Amino acid sequence: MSFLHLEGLTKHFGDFVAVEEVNLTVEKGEFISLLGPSGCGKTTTLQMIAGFVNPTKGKIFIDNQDITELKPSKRNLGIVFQSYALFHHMTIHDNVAFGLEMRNINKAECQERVIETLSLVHLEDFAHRFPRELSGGQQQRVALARALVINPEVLLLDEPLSALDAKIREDMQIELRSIQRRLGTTTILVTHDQSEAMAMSDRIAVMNNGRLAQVDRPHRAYEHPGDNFVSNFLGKSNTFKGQVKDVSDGTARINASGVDFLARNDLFEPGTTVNVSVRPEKIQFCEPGKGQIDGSISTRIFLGNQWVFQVDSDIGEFVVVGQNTGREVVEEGHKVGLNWSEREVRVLPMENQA
Amino acid sequence: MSQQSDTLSTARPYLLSAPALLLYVGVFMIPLIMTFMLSFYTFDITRGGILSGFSLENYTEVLSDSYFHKIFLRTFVLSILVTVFCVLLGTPEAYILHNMSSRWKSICMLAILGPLLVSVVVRTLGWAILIGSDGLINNTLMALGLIDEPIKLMFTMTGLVIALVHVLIPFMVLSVWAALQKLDPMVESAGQSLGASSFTVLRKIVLPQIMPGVLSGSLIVFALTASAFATPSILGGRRLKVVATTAYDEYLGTLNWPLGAAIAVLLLLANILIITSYNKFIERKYAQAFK
Amino acid sequence: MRKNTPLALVFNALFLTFMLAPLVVICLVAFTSKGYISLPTDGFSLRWFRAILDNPHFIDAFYLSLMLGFASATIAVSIAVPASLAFARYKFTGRAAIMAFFLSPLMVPHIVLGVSFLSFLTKIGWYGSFMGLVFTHVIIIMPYALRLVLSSITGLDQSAESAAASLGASNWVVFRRVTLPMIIPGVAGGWVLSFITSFDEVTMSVFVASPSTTTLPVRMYEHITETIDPLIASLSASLIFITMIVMLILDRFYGLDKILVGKGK
Ligand SMILES: Nc1ncnc2c1ncn2[C@@H]1O[C@H](COP(=O)(O)OP(=O)(O)O)[C@@H](O)[C@H]1O
Ligand SMILES: [Mg+2]
Repeated sequence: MSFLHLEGLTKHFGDFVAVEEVNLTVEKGEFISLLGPSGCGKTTTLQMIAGFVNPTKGKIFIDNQDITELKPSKRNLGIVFQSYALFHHMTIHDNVAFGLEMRNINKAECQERVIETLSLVHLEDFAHRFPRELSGGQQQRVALARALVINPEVLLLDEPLSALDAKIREDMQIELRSIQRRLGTTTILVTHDQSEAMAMSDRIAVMNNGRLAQVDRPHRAYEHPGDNFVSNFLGKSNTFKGQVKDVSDGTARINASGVDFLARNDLFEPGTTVNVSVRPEKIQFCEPGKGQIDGSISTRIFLGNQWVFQVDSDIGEFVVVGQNTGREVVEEGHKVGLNWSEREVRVLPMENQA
Repeated sequence: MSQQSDTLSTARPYLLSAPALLLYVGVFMIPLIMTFMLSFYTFDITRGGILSGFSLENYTEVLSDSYFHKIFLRTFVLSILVTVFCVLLGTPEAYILHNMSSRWKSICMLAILGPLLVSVVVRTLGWAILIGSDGLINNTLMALGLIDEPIKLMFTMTGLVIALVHVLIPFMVLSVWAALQKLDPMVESAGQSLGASSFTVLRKIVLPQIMPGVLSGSLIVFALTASAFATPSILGGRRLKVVATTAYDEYLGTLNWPLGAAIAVLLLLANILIITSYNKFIERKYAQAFK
Repeated sequence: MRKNTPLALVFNALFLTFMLAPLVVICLVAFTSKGYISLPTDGFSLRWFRAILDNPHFIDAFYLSLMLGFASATIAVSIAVPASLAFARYKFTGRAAIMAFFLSPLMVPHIVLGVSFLSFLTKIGWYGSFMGLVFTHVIIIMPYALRLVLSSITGLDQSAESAAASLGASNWVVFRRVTLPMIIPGVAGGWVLSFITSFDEVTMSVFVASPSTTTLPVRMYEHITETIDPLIASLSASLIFITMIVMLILDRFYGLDKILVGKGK
């Protein structure tokens, strides 16, 4: 069995359902991200694992032990909060030593482990400073050291990088990942930033409205989203409503407002209403009439490494992304054909509530 | 925070506030209720002082006697005058402070707020020394030959208003100051960049936004003046009695506690009535601004 | 930031003069060598400061006020801390009502509190006792203490406490090692404001102070209603000096405006 196991974890605040039937297994040493828009229940899930929020229903196991009823102070988890949550009246050293002190670890060993952990986050020279004398990024690393020094069973990170500037955030992503690899600490990262989740995690667990929408490796989740929500949350998508007309040899013909899309499919029966979606970077321009559909460029935005086009077509607007190869590209107002391979078309179920 | 059994965590906030709650019920509610009851008792010196029972005698006396009418009216007028002067002087002063460089600002703040930490008895003494008939103002003016006989300030409404404005204006400045702190500094610049003159910016942009501060400051000043005791007692004496000094005299002078209690109850009711209706008014008027 | 006009600066100067004049006058008069109120035109004399020390009346009252302020501020703060924790951390039935109740002494004129406490203390036989005085003062200063303590707890980042718990600290250790040190500045500010409010209170104390337990402001008030002499001026001047020192310390650590904003209703 896996190392950390959430079983039907549910939290209601009065009538409001914050987390609903979350089942998740995490392997030892794995780095997994809880990804989802703000308010979808990520923090609540993490707080239940940490023991600060009582689940309405469900169980939490670590190493096959049921810890659902255990006090937070007995769970031996390391937690890093978005606000750092440092003890401002203590030095960096005392902040990091706090957890060891609570475990009655002797002075000498405590000293050694504090120094060791501080050097892991490159802060060994700052031990005698106070948190307010450190920059945001440094404070975050203190928070990380404080959580890691107790050798936690699981490291829980709640949007740890979102208060940092973009550049420092990228550096910290890399550093955090490499520290985690080195120590092999099982880690759960909560974030609403899909690129952060994809860059750092072994697997991502996409959450929506309190439920897990999909749990997969980043590349797989991106390429094969399970539903419309995941497809749109992990990057952009051109999505159209259509109906499966026929299926042969695992390839379906889907009609969307009169245009036929071919797509790999062995799930949906003819007659089902579905969503078809193609990612913007999977579409190429060609001569009008030579592609799957024609359109005209309505806007063109230059982003340095790439171009983003909006293309008006008979069935709606397409977004197309092209690498900047240095050559001139089509201008606004031009007619173009849009072409894509059937391997890049995803067929997704209709949201039943919509 | 952590997991406790449900009953314990439900009871916990009540347990935490229990000491204060007990104290309040024992030493605050009970005395107030006692005073309320006392105000319905009667006082008869020939029959041995305070007689328990229920009678509206004290209230009818206070509400019908023109002597008491005069005192209540004087207290009311005094409160209005002090409030008006505090608004007229305190609001511009707060705005001037707001526009100062931070060094000067903190020095001036100390001078204005510092007196709040000094007992009102001491501050009133200062005014008594200044405005007494052979006080420093009169002596100086006479020595300079500017006046022939002392200006009467001691035991006059004018003297009382001056001293009470001095005692209470820090609250006004503080209240407006707090409102100004919330003002977005860019708003004023934005107003000017749109072509408004300084005066227009002040009137159309700043004033409406600090109005809640002015109003709550006025309320504090009004309520504190209406129940002020030490200053009116020292500077007004028996000649300029206000509600608070009258209640004091009934209690510690004539020993008519029931009558004093009735006056106190009326003062309390008036105070609560004014505060709550004023707050309602402010809330209604500024409901949008606070949302 | 906009510049003040010259007119505004004149206004400011006059305003400050108005604010400081009575205090400055007291401090000047206190140094007179004459037997009546007058400016020290013929040199500064410490005669009337020495006279204070010969007046046990005032000295006793001063000590009583100090102890009273100490005791009532300490009691007020120590019941305000748990109450503030309840308000800041829990949603419970009656929360708003209890909070309003705790702040309600602000709405009651001190004269009304004075007469009520007088009847009450007489009834239970505590009139003239130090403890009686202490309890009445606690009621008067509780709202101020509560506000400052509450605002420091509400402003606290609760996740620091969660972090401590997750690192293995029990509830009590979290409170002692994390919560308390973090709210200490607010608690200390509340204590100081409470102390000063108690030390300065006169209107209510006039009623509950007995001849043997009279606070300094009450004794001074009684003295002033009989006679205004250089002795009372030198005593007042001494209080002003002490207050100035306290004020400078307070301003240094907290900013006077932050502490005193709590003093309004
Ligand atoms: N203590 C609470 N009481 C009521 N509702 C809550 C509480 N905590 C969180 N919620 C609600 O639960 C939902 C999920 O919150 P959260 O887990 O913090 O979301 P996320 O971390 O994904 O942004 C939100 O709509 C939030 O308003
Ligand atoms: Mg969150």
